[in-house]
Amino acid sequence: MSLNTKVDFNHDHNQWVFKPVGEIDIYTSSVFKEEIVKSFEERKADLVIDGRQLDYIDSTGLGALISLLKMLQDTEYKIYIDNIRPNIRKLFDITELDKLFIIRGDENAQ
Amino acid sequence: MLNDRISVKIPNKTDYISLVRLISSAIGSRIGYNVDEIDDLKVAMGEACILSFVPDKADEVEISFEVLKDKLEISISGHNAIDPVEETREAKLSKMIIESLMDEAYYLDEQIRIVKYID
Repeated sequence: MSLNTKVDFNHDHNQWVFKPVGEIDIYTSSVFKEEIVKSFEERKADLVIDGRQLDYIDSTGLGALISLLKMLQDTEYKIYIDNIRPNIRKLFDITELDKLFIIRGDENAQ
Repeated sequence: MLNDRISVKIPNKTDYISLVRLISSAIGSRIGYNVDEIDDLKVAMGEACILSFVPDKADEVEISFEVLKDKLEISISGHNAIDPVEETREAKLSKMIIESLMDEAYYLDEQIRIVKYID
């Protein structure tokens, strides 16, 4: 029941990289979202969520990702979901969010 | 554990949802679910709790696990029957996840009942 998000700005690719470590759930999702919104407002750029160390996400976490997608919809910027584990990928498939998000595996890792 | 019923009462605070997931995992393990089935149960229970831990409802949410020969039946009290018109995006996601991972799901006025078969 905890989440620690590492935030980095990648100057080479001009993008924010967020590495959530732990669980994005009803307890942590609002803080996770606020952190990303704050970064984006500070500097407009593409957003990369690196899910390599994400153990669990629930519907409120998925909802937070959807609202980030909406935040970007009228901009030139994109959100990428990278390196998520199979148990989390399964939830994107079930909820058909795999069709809305750009989900990339290890082969596209940057 | 056959025919046993395990009931827990949890304060109606979202902080405790991870505890419910942990309990679900332990019960799933005891009745012989494999790793994937245990994970499905944990995830579905997390979603059922999100729908059931409704602010300003009861002080406690009661969760009851009943181990039958061929299935695990779980009831979670506290569910606030949601008007389908006003159902939030997250509630829809929760239901999609529960219905996909469990074998049966019923949303009653004050209760969610979910069933997962035991092979």
